[in-house]
Amino acid sequence: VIDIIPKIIAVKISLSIWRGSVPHTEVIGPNTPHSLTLSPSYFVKYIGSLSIVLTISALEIIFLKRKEDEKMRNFLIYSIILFFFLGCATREVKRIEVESQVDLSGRWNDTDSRFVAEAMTRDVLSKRWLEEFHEKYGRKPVVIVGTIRNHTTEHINVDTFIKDIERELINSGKVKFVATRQERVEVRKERLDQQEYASEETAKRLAHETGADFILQGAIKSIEDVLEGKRVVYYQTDLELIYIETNEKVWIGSKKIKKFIKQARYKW
Amino acid sequence: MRKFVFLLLVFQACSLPLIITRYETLWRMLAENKYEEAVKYIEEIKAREYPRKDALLYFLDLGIIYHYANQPLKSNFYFEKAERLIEELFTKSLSAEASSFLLDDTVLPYRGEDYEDIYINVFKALNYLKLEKFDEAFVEVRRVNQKLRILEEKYQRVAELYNEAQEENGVKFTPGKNTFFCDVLACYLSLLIYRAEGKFDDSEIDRQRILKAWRAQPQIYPHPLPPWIEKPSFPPNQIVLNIIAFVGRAPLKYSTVLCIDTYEDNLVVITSSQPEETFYDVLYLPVKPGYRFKFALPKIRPLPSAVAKIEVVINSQLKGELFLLEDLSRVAQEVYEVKAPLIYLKTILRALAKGIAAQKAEEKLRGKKEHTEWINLLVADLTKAAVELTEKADLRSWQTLPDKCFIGEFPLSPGIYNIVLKYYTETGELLEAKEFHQYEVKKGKLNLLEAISHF
Repeated sequence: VIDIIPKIIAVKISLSIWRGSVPHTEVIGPNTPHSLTLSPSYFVKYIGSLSIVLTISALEIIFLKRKEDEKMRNFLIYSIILFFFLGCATREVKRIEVESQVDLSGRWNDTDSRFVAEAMTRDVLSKRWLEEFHEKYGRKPVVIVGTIRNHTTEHINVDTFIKDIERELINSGKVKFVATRQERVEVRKERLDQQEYASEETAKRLAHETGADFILQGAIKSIEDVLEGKRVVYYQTDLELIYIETNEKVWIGSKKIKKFIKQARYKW
Repeated sequence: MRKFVFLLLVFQACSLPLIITRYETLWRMLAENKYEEAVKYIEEIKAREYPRKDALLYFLDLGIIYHYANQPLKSNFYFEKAERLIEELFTKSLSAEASSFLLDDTVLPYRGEDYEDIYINVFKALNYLKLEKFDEAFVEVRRVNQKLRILEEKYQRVAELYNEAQEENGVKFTPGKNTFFCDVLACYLSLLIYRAEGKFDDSEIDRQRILKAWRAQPQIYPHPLPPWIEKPSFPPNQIVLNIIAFVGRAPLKYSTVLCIDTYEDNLVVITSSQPEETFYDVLYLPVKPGYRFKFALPKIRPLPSAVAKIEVVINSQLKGELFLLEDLSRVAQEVYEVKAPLIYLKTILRALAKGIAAQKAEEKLRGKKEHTEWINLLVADLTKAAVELTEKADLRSWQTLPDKCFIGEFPLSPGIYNIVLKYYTETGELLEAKEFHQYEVKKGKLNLLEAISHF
């Protein structure tokens, strides 16, 4: 007990210095897609490990105060101070591609959102309903994204997911989109405002909105199994495209993602 | 070196938690509804009384105080941090664990009790309801259910691992039986959301779940069920004013001092060192006879609220009273009992290891024949005293949590109302009256009024 306590204290001190230098996730600016501070380099880890050993020995020598160790004591004190300064300068920032896949916590993230949106869009655009609509009306269908509910055990930014779907569908050039219910409120206010304050030539007409033909609705669900720092999460996104006039469901799509997340039980 | 160890132990012994003083001031501020002052106070004392290892308590205290102060966004910001920290702290630091084995559990980062982890989500759900974000509130309710599902399994697995490691010593560890599998308060929040969304079948399923949980967990819900949950007294689409009232203070951890005596044939007897408490336990551990050490064990006890009855007055007319839905302190005690055997065994093993090591050191020091003999004797005595002092119980807990939750439902027409909640003691003495002026009851909305009393 007597011999090991100072060693443990020394390890604690070194680790707290080391841990203080371990960077964490940080988003820097609104226009920066991702600025992640990544894990410390091997060099820093090497210096860290070395310093733990040095600190243990140093503390022993410092507290024992043996005359023959005086030079060694001074050297080791300087080593600790040097490590402290080295430890303070280890933040590393890298710009990474928006498309790149980065999984930190294992929760639903932008990669999942984009991945599901792309897969669902491909599926919905490849099905018969689109062709049939073209044949019948000779124009592109107008779609609106309705409610996509989050039935998972995580807080998912459904708006980002909706935007991903809208973007994919609009960019395909095969369908037209109209503003969502929330967006319409603001647009209508603006139109009403124009009736009073804008010139006659530029004011937009009332009651000339484009009515949507189809509404896209759905939900994201999850099943989670947790044990001993291991987590398996199964996400299922179900979307349905409904013809507004008849309530007819013209397409049902489902996309599944399964994740295995493991958290270490121990660290130094 | 021995002087250094002695100083270290004395330092640890002197650093007794300042929790009591911190919470006394906080409770006083909360009782006077001075939430802004309480937040400022926490920020002021942060550096001194919320060390890094107690970061979780800092987040929990701020989270709940912002909730009381009706600032749901800020409250959820801190609760989110608290929840993430609990997840991060699943990964244990080997160095900290080693320190805790030689000193005590207070050197470890506070990981939070299981009941605290569950109530984080309950209060987050309430915050989302205030923000009218029903999907988000549902996420929190689901998380409560998920955490309850894994609760028993969690300690069963710890027991298995421990028993594998301790096979040679023959000490078996059995976790407490988990009897809490469904949180009625979380179910009730789910019922309210479904009802507000017009999903009456789903809200009925939740009502049935509450009934089932109430009957299956009588040790947690021994009080009568609110009558309208037993038998709905109005149609599901009726506009109602829902009131949730929290009262009192969280249960408190306290320290109980026990004694270990070792006898022949590996017999280890543990008894209470306080005459008013009767405790007796026998273990078989490979320890030499003749040792006697003291150690402290944390236990939990409620601080029952003085509130026994809450009357609801709407537009100067007495409309009825609120009913007790959940006794948070009772839940805390039940959930804590699942983990208690683990703390007990860990504390005994640590006390034995430390005690034996200190005794050996003392024997060595007393046996020395040097000029500085008196210093050796002094160090020996003080080391022994310091070892006993360092063996203190970890009394950290989320003390700003309330004690009980009352609910009420009052059918009303849409309109604006003046609502008063009157809090009474068991003897009928009025403790406090909370007024809510110009509260608007709307159609097609969840009309949820939340009130807090710290009595």
